[in-house]
Amino acid sequence: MRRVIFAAIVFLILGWRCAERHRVYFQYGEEVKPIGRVGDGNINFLWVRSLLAAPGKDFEVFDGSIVVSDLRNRLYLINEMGKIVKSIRLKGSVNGKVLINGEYAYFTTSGDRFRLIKLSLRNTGDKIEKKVYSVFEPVLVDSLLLVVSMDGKVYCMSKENLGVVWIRKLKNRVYFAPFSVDGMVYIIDFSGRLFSVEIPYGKLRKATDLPTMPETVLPVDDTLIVFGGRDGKLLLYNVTENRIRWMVKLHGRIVSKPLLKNGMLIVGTMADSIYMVDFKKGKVLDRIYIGEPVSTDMVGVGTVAIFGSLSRKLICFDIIKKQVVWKCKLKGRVISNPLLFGDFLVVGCEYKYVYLFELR
Amino acid sequence: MKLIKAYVCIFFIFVALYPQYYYFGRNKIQYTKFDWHVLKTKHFDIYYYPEMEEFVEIGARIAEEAYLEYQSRFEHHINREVPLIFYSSHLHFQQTNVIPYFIPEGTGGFFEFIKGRVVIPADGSYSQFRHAIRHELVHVFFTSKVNSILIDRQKLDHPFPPLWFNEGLAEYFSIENRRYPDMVLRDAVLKGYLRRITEIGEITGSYLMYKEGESFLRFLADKFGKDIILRIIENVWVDEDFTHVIEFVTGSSIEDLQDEWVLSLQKRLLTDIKDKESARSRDVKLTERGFNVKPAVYSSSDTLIKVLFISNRSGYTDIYAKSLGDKSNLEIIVRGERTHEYEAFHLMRSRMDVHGNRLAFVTKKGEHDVIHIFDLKAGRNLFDLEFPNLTAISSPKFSADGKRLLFSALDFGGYADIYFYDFDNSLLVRLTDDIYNDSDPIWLPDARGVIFCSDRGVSGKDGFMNLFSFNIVDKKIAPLTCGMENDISPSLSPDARELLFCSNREGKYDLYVLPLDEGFTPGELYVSRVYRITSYTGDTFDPVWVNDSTIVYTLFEDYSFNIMLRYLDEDSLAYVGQNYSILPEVTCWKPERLSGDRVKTRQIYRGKYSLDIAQGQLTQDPFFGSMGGAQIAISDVLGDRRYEILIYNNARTKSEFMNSFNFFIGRYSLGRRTNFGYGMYRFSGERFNYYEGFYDEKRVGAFFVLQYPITHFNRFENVVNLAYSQKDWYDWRGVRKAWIVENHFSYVYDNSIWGLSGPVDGSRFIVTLGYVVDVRYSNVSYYTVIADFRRYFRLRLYLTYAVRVAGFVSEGKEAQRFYIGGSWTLRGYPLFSIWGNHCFLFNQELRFPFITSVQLRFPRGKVNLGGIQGALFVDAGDAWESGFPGLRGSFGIGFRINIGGYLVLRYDIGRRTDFRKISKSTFYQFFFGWDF
Repeated sequence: MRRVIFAAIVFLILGWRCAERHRVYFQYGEEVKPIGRVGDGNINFLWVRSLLAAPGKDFEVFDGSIVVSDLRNRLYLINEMGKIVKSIRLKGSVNGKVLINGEYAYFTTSGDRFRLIKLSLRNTGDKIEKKVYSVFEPVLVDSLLLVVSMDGKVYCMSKENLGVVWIRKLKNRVYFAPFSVDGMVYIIDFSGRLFSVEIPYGKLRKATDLPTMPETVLPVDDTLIVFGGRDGKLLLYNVTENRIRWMVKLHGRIVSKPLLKNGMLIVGTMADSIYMVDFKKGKVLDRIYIGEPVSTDMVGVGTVAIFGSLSRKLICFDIIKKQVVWKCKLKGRVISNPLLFGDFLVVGCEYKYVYLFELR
Repeated sequence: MKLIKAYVCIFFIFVALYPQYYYFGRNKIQYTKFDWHVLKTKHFDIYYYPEMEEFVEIGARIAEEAYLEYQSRFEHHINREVPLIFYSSHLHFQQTNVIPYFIPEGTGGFFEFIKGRVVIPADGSYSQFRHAIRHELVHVFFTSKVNSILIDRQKLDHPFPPLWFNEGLAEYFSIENRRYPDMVLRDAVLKGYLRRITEIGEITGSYLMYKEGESFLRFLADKFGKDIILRIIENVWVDEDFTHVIEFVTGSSIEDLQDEWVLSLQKRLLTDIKDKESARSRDVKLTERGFNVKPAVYSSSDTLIKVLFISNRSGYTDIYAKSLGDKSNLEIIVRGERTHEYEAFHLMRSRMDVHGNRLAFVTKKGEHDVIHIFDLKAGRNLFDLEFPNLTAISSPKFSADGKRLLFSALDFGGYADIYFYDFDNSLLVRLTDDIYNDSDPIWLPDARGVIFCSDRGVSGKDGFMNLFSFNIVDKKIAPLTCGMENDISPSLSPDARELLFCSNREGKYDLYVLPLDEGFTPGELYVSRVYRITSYTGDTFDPVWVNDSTIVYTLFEDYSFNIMLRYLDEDSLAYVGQNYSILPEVTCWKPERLSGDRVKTRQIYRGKYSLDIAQGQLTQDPFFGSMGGAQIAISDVLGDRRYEILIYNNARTKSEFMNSFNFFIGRYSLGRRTNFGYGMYRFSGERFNYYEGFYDEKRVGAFFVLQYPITHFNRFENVVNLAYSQKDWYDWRGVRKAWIVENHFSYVYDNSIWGLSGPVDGSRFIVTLGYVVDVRYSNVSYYTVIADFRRYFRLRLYLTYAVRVAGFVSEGKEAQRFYIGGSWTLRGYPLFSIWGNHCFLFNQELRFPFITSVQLRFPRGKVNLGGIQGALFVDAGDAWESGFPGLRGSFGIGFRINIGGYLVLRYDIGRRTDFRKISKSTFYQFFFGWDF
């Protein structure tokens, strides 16, 4: 009898631990709950669900499903109802964004294994992996994939079979994930130098020395790039003229992509403020203290901007009235950039949660 | 053994009341009744008492500003109100119950990471207060950020970053004006004891570790950009070995990085000192070893001059005397830290002064500091000066006629000001009364004025102390020096023509002279030249004139402070500039306070409780069966009130379940001087001891414990127990019922100091009287007397002769039995194998260092195990029921090694004896535990 009780207790404990590990929390709003107004409509809470680890910084959309990577080693496809349609186990955690082209997802992983992976989202058995020591997301230009490694190597690979087309080497380590503007790929190294890489030839050219180490980049049409730096510097760079048009210093770090609306840049900073900056002249038009540190990119919906904060809130800010419309409290610090697709807004926060809202 | 469960609970009681070690230990006394209030700001709940209101508002502003800054720097937000607990002085701070440990003098604040509380003393100095708040808030952010990262990545078992990084980061972020390299770091580089990052574990917890960590982070930021620090933190999850994380982020190997770091330090610091000389090449070194500071000069006769100084060379802090021109050994004038009279010295803070045969010095005595007036000729204390409103006192200075005593002091509200005491009129006069940190005062001739250090000058807001003069008559204050440097420890020459002081105006502390001519008037601006008289590789402090051409001072070099004697000559004067390197301003700076809109509420503190610990456990023993239970402890934010709950069940069958339910509930109050606790319990289950064998006992009752500390060294304890007990021995004795009343009184004394494996000096003893009676059935009735005396004779610095004499007697029905045998009591005999209701022990041990340090080198690193202590021992004792059977004993040699500061492993080799014969076989006994 004693043995039975003991075995039962052990089994319960182990079972509880396993269940805890795989426990998913799911809450669906039985009655659609409006959070607040967004323009002429409402934003309504639909559901929140948990993953096995906190969601990554960016979401994508594929075939109506939300593509989410977590900070551990999984990639998920979640449908509008909040159901996990696919859960793919990887051997490392996804770095940054997942690039989706057709049915394929391209991403790099790090942690346990540094790889560049091409994965079919329809048939997950269709996968190619290449060993690349990278912590940055890849960039796709035409049929070529550009991946930058930690030690400053720039790999150009075929998107079909990940075969290496050419490799270039930078002097310094790379600081920021590469991004593409008008067919050119830009890379920033640890000393703040901006390089351009011509595709497909691979000509590496130094563009300029940036006066700030950028945390966020916003390409605007094909000639202009807005950089936001951790030291609060915001600058506009013209790629054709190869010069910095203007630079302003804001209070607080800029860690999220600004929103360009009506000739104004709406920039959130970690100093609990939102700035309105004239896009052409680079002049600060207004600073609004909102009392929450802005931690995610801004998503524009009509005349409002929606973004997340480290104070566990999803915030709606009216650009015209220059005031906060509503704040919605989430279960953790908002760490994923909100993604707008169709009438839905998805956002992720710490402690493994993904939220879906509906705009109606 | 099931009995262990009961002992665990009793252990709970005594641990909760915080003797430093179980059974003995010094006392952490809550002398002061604080009227706690709470100031709620946007991000903090600040606990304070009204007397320090101004410092609280200043601290609140500093905290809110630091919060915004760190929110950006860490890219992190703390989603709760951080509890900040402020005290106005270090003496009040030492009384805190937030942590149970004693707080050393050098601790400027701490972050308690379990409940996220920050505790900081204001201690009179705005800049130190500011630094402490900023430093501790870095810990708050860092801990929260790292936890957040590891939780997000589900790496819950991942090791936390090492202490050197944590503390180095706190120093790096919190120090706003790093003008010069730190003194200790410079010394470490020059003297070759700087540790590389891969070896920094050898100096864990030391001040040097803080500074090395800060310096390494500064180096990384300079090399890779300031963002590198945040990147390292954000990638902490990448590898369990933190050096690999640094390598991953920087792309360089840790070996290359630390080589480069050390080289950059050496280049910079060696360049700084290339024109300096060694103090020992010029001056006479009067002391060796340890920290020897704050010299004072005593002319015991026309021909004999002695230098008095404070030193901790023996482990205790004492006042020593060294005769000049005489090669005799040091003489101890005052033995400190052994008695309540001289409870604790403020080693690095307070100077001493001599007038005639009288010595004035300061120690902590109970709740406050007191000034002792000591007769050097008679060798005894004349009287003490104690001021109830003054908490901390430092640097007493006699006037020329000896009728007045000048000093600096902190009042209850934390204001550091200058006072003097008039002996004739028994009058205390306050000279300054403001927010500024005033210290180190000295008299001018005829007591017309005072010179002192203060941060009231134009550079004071950045933490720099300059010299000021104060006119006693018109109360005017004027700067005597002004600049972005620290000018401290002023000392006036015998002819009052030269002011000697130490300053770091050229990058490190050297001695300087400022001539005072007839034009000098206290309270008026005075322009003069400043001359440097020392230019050493080490830093110099506390200069004191012996005569017109000789001084003594403290030199920091080779990680020790020593007293040096210097003969002055004209050649040693080097002109460095004017006394005002920045133009002094008429008005003083004002620290900013938290403005109205950022203050949410103020209220009286009524208690805010949260969980300390909650754990459950399940065990399975092949003999005793399974047991499961839970333990919860709750305390309030100040740690003054605690609740402990223990529930467990040890049923072996279903039918036993209700009967085998055990619980313990206790409440403890630690906020006042008298600590007390009470609660109730039910213990039921099978027990065993060698005397009674197996038996089943159920005990339901209530207890009350009280602990009254008389001084820091001794206390009274009382434990009262009321219980219903039912015992079943499974034999002819049947079931025994009893309604028990227990009363135990103890007197405990402990002034010992500890070495690596146990006490090495001082003494400790405990006397316990107890009576237990069954008030209903008279089935139990016995008394117990315990006396345990231990004395440690320090024969040499590292050689101790330890003696223990202990007697245990218990007589009556169901008298207590005492068990000896084993490495802790009577070596050479099996553990607890000798028992009786009478017991006697006599242990002697000669403790010495056997091996200074043991290091194991592995291919991937090394492990330092500290040293191995040796002991020659002779034990004697016995336990008996009736009729003394004769002594048992043993003798031999033992070895102890301290693992990690918490566990001591012991190995004894010897032979038994009955003091008539010696056994032929040798015993080898391995165990754990501290020396007696």
